[in-house]
Amino acid sequence: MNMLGRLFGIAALVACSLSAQQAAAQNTLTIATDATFPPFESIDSSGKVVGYDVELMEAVCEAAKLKCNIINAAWEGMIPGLVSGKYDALISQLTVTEARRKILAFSDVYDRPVFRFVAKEGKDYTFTREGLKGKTIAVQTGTPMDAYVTKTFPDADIKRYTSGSAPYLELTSGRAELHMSYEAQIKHAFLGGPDGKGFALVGPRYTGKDAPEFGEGVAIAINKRNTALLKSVNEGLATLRQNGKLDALNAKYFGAN
Amino acid sequence: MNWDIILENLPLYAQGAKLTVLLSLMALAIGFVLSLGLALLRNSHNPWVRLPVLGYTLVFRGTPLLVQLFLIYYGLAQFELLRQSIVWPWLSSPLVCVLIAFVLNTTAYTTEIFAGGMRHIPAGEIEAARAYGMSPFTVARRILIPAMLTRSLSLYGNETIMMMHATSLASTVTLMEVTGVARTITLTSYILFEPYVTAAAIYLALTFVLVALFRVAEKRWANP
Amino acid sequence: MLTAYAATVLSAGYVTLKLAGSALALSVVLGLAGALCKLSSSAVLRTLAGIYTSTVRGIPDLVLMLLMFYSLPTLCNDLIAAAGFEYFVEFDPFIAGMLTLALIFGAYMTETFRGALLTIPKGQVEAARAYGLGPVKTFVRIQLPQMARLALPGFTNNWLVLLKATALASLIGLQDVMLTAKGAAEATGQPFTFYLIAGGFYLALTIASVLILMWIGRRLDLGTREMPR
Repeated sequence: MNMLGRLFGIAALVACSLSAQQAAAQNTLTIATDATFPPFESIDSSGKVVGYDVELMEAVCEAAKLKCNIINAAWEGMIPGLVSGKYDALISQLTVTEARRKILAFSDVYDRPVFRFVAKEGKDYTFTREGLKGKTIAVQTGTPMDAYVTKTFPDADIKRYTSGSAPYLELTSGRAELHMSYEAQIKHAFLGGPDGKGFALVGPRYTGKDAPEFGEGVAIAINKRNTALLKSVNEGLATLRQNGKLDALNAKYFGAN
Repeated sequence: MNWDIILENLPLYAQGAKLTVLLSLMALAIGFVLSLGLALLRNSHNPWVRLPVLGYTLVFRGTPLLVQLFLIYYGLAQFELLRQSIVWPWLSSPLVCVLIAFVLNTTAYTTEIFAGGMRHIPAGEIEAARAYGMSPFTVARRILIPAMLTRSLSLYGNETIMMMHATSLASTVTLMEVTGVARTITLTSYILFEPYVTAAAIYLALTFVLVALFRVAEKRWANP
Repeated sequence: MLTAYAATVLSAGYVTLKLAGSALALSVVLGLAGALCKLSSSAVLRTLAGIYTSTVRGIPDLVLMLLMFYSLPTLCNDLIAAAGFEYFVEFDPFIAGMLTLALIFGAYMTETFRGALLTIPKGQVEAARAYGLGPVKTFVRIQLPQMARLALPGFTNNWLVLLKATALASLIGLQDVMLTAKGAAEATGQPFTFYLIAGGFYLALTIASVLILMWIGRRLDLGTREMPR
């Protein structure tokens, strides 16, 4: 029993002391973002999480007098992680949809994106079920774009990626013909750069009015039970709107809107 | 518990299991054939033959399969030259890229396993075969390879299980095998428990089958 | 620009090494415990250890990691909520990765240590007992030193596999060499460059580990008269 007991004891102690570390630091809010979506959230060359959403969240926290720690998290577990309490809030250009409203609470909408397809310049596509039959469309899994493309173009060859920037690699290599994402993101992160040469926005400009999958704008997601945080965040957002910081941020990233 | 979502998606899981088995079988089959030859080369007296094989096995056993997979799938696609070449229709397919990565990887491990098995064959057997006038090819075919296979059986059994488990990495490059199905369900249904437990159960079942198969093989061919 | 990204990728090597090292330490503890269970006279302990090793070796590493990071906390939290408490349990990617790797390689170490312990001639243990050494002293003074030497090849192999398995933690969001390389690859559109750097990192560690462990092996073998088969 002796040796065995001691070994089990050591293992148990190690495991316990590690999980005990989790209980500490409850004052700082953990805010998760999927940093594969420049210019909204990405990791720069030094490994820091940067972007529009990051700056916005920092400003909101400052205005609402909250201590925030913005971390890069795997997209796979972000929404369930918020529901289970792993994260306190999410900011990642999250679209407010009916499906998500059932399990999350959202702050006031801070942006209303437009969704577009991007493809090689000069190619003509008909954006109907028939027209895109057999074409390869790349999307990020579990996003409104994924939901829309899956529903509207079921005969297309849909490729899903867990990262927001992987589809662009597939576009440039030719593995995917089309990619659907946020118009601002395509313009500022891809079309402007060296890899985006020869590509262009194609097809209609989709918004929430065109399909329920596209939701009603993007907002910060918060656990349904955390009504206090929801109030603080909304107050912070309102402050930023009033003192012009939100407009300044928009101008900084997107020029005169 | 949301097992109803799993029940709805059982057909997807079944297709995923099919793909898992297909990927494993193809990678293992091609790897097996390649390793037979490479193992012989690996034990060659000529360093110009032996060292390149050693270099290959070192690199592919010394780097994670995930890195190899991403290098082949994303990395190769970076080169304009490759994209214009005739191999592109093959390389653009995730299935082909995944198979190339798996084959390169399992061949490296299997080559080392077979080569190790070959080293312990009593020299007397080989000398007797040569004394009988067998050509090197016949010696290989009738003496070396059978002896090597029976000696390597249990280690090779391990390697087949490792390969089958490794197919779960195909989910990182859009392939919908079992793990890919599980990960997609979590992203679209927001449940985190049931999909992965189901996937784990499927792999346990597949592993059990493989282990049983190799126990039978060991009893028949490599009486320990 | 590329060099800045490259530097960041390599500096993430610290995270990879920390993960591998702590997982190794814990897996050695689990492995020793498992081996003792498997060799114990209690059928219950033997069976439990058997279930542990069979289950862990029957599920892919990636799936185990996803289970540990996502499913286990979810299960715990559902149970806790059902019991009426407000508390929640969660692991960060490092802890989840470390626990998963420790669990997996604990199973492999169990087999390695068990095989090594079995190779030690039983007569030595009997002699030690005859001299009045208790079970703990026998283990620490007689069996453990020899086991270390005999288990070294298997231990080396397990360490090398563990080192590469850490790359899977990138898939649950740990900012290790692999995830940093992925980010750099996608941001610059140069996947080949960065995955090559990542591969080079692991290869360098593999070669270094093999050399170090070979040196340790030679030191441990000093004083032995025969090479165990």
